[in-house]
Amino acid sequence: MTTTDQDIPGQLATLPDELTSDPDWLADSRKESRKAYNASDLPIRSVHLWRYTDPALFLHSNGSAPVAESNADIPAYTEALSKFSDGSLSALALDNACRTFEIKIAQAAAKNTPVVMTLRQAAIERPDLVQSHLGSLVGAQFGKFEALNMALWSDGIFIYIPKGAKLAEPIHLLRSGSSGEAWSYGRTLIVADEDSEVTLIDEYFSANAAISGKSNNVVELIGLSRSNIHYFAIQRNNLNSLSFYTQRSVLHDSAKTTTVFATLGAKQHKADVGTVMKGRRTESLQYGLVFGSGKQQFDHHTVHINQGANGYSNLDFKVVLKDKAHSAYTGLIRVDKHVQNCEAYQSNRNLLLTRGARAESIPELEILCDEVICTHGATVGPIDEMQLFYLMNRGIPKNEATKILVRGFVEPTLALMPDSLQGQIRRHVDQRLETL
Amino acid sequence: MSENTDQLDRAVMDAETRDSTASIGSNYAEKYGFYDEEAARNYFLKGAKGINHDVVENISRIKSEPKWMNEFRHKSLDIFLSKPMPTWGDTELMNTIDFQNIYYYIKPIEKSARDNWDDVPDYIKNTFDKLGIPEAEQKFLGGVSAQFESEVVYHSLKEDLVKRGIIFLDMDEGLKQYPELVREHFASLIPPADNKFAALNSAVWSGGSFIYIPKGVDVGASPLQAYFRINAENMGQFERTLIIADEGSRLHYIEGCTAPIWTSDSLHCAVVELIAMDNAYIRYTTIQNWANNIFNLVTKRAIAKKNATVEWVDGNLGSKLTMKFPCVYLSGEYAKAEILSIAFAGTGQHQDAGAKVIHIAPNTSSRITSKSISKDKGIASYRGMVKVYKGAKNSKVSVECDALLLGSEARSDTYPTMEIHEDDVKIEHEARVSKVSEEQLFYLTSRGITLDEARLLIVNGFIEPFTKELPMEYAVELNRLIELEMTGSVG
Amino acid sequence: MSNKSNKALLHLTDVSVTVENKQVVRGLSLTIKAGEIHALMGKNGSGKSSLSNALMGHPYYTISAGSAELMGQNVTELQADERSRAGLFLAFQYPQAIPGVTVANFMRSALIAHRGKEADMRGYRKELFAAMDELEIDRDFAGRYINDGFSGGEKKRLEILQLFLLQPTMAILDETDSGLDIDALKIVAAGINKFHTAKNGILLVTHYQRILDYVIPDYVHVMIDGNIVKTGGPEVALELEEGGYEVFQPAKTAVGA
Repeated sequence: MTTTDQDIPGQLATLPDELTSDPDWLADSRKESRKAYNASDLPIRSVHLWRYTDPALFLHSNGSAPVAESNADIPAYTEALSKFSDGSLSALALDNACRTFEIKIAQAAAKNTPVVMTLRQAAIERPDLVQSHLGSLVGAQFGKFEALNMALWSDGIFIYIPKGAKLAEPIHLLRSGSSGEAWSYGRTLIVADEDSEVTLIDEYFSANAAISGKSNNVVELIGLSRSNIHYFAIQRNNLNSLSFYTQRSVLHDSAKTTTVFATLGAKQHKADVGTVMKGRRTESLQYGLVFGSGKQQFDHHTVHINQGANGYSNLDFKVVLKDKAHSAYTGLIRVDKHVQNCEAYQSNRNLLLTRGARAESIPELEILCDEVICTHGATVGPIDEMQLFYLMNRGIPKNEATKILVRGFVEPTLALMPDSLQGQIRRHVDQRLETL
Repeated sequence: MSENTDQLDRAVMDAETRDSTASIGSNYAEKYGFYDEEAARNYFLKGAKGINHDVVENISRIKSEPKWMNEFRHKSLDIFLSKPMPTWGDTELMNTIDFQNIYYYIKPIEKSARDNWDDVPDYIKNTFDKLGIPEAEQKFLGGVSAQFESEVVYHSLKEDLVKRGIIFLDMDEGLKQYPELVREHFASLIPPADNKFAALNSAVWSGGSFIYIPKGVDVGASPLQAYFRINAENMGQFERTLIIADEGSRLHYIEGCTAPIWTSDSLHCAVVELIAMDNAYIRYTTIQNWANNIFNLVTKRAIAKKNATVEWVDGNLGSKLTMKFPCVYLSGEYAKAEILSIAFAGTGQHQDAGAKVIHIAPNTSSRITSKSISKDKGIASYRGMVKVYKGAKNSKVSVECDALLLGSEARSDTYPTMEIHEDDVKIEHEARVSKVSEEQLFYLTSRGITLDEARLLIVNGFIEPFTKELPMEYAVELNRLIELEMTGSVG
Repeated sequence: MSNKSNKALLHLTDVSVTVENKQVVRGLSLTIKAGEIHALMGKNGSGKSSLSNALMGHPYYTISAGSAELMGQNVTELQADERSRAGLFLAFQYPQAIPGVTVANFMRSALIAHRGKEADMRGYRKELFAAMDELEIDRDFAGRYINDGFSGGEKKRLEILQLFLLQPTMAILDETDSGLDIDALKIVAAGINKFHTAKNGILLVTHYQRILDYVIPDYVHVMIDGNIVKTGGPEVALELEEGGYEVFQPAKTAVGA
């Protein structure tokens, strides 16, 4: 270690004391990750995943720790609590600025009771479940800012779905951002054991509407053989906040995932989400729904990596932009050498509602074998004039007709979500469309 | 005659000529890969290998160039030397280029650019005879230019085209005869600093075509052709082409390229600039069939002004590594771009090709169609960029990429980029990657056609949207080349 | 070689067919002699299309047991193109579309494959157009891509065009009548009748009796669950029309799992 680390902006000089009480293996991994972060160069802007976002935004700034609001001041939590008491959730976890946690688990038949605890608690109590998976998908070598997360995650959530457990009700994770301006580093590890089934709602929001919170979150989903994970991530931070989000799933033999990413908030949001289809006969369905207004900037990357035979993947990424909002989307399908019989599809559609909105679309294919069927498609454009004309012909004013068409555009993605979530996002989209 | 009948005739004719070409069993070495030793013995001037300011000064002095061009070359060399190699694309392959092991200038005969085949020494004429150039000239071309190593050794333009004011010269002669016109447009679209290889070309360029089509003149029906031939080992060919189509004129230009097969690498870095004035039309067709030891790193760019159309029809069959992304700036209202390309990559080849269209003016439209075939261990990449600037209202973009994989180790990459800064646009992109369909193969073989023949039919069908845009003679030649590639036992 | 097998164009003995490890034809036997038209009738899923595809050598269908002889030659080991050149033809129920390959080019390649590389193809255009005129196919189709954007009826007529040009000894027509309106059906039937001579044989695979009004079979076979359960004359087709396939359903002695 050199003492000059301190002097270089963005360098991570030391790890906070509170993190040094971790078990040895975890402390070591943090040290390694800190090294990897400091040693790696800031990504060059010409490197394709960084063409649309300035990487310097995500450098670590030494400073105070994140600040948690009082739980009682978080309306979403109050709401979720009542849902939990109704019995419509299998578990509820509040992650308040990575500082305070509230976890509630509904009691069910023994094998159907999930393990839900804070990640640091899990690292201490259940190293058998945590050690081999933590960082296995998004570790210190993944990228500079992922290494930063791996070094600094102050706490997060760990979920384990036991073998054969099929949870009837969703698990709801509420992630309230910091009320201070310091970076918060959150981390989530979800392990779905063989033959299990679970629905997860992962909701990110700002506890304080005025503070420009900064968050760097990593989510790892492990789908063991024949598991089936439904994962819904909603980012609705306030419009001053900065968000960096990385998610990876891995699927073992015959495992399935449906992942839906709804990006609504933040001033600037950069996300890298993907599925590694490691086993045979896996299925991955990914959906994206982005709604941008004002001067919001989004930079999404999705990836499907096919490594096992007979995999099926489909991705549908929809973007709606108004005002001066800007979205860059880069989507990769990669099929590794000697993968037999895989099908992979990808579609990216961008709807530009007003002048000044900008969309970038970069769908990519890297196919290293021939037993494949892969297609991708992308469109960018305004609302279809003929559809608009048709509705206006029936007496509907242009503004209203536009709203109807935007709702129609996002509806198929909404329909995949749990009911409570559908209503919430529908209301949000309607609200944003009001000032069209 | 209706369009339908035309198509029908063509289809039946294609079918009828297929047979005569299907039986040709020659390979690249025999047909294109021959080396003319006699020509090499008789080179008028062959400098030393390597690149420095002396080499550049020498080239400029031999050509007795104006001062501005001499300075342009030296400045370009400085840019080349200071610019790092690209950090994207097949960097591994690119970094094997040994710039000091290349001949930058070979003048094959003393007096270049003769306009009578009889004046061209036999030992060079042989090469072009074998490649069928004089025959094609007689049959259907409006003009021909033949470049051997660094210089154009022959060029011609039909008399009626001369009378109509068309200028078709090699670039060196163009600079001598039309210094003002050249100075105005030369490097206007591709400045030396554009990329490392364009900088290199700017420093050591030699040969290439200079074409000017006067206002309202239509030479679309009788194409002008340039043929580029590399003969020497470790040769660097750096032709430079500038085409200006004045208002309302029409031109079809075709280029072909071949070389002998050497074990060490040669380099081809061309720069091509097309200027289509208001209402002009330019089609630029390339059938690149370089030997598999050639780095083909080419910068091609066009500007289409008001209501002008530029079409790049780009066929890449040969070379070790091709990096070529023909570009059109749509700078005038209602300008159109069409980029149609095919790439065939066998073992030891990486075809990194694509297209670039920049929509600047309103009501512009572009269509990109890319077809690639990766066979055995070949790699085909599509790299594309479509940019629509704010204000380019009512622009339309359509991009379609199809890739066919032949063999379990073949690789296909697709990297399209779309940057849209205007809401009133219509952008569509589609891509597909697959192997030859077993169902289709079964259908054809169930009619008695052998598996190899069926595969060939399907591959030729796959590139048909490209082939049908070529003049008949080239279409037949292309199908034959594909057949050679398909039957060639590579790797 | 026996007299009988000399005359038999197609001779199937205990043929079983599997697709994706599932047995779909179970020990079927059938002999078709020169000059005969046989109708093979069955519901969807009875195995009749699987049999047709397996006989032609479709890569997904395997003849897993029994023997299939074409004019005394065992075809099970032959590739599809070899079977075609040996005189077997299958008009497909769902012909493939092949964009980029014109009908003219395709038919020429097929004819050269059948007649040999040295064949004189100078009269090819005339031959093609004559056949097209006969089947009332617009000559423009020669320049169109194989089945690309064709209607159902157009595809079926293109299959019959190939039958005309290739002149196989043994033709299997798989649901060639399906998807045709009555006018198209009449043209196709007329084409089949014109093709038929005392030297060739036809196996007409169909779901409905309708086409048998126009192409009169010598024998009608009813196929249920992968085997022929009844063979007779044209009257069998009428019985089917009256009573449906239930009439021929074999008594269910054992219900498989």
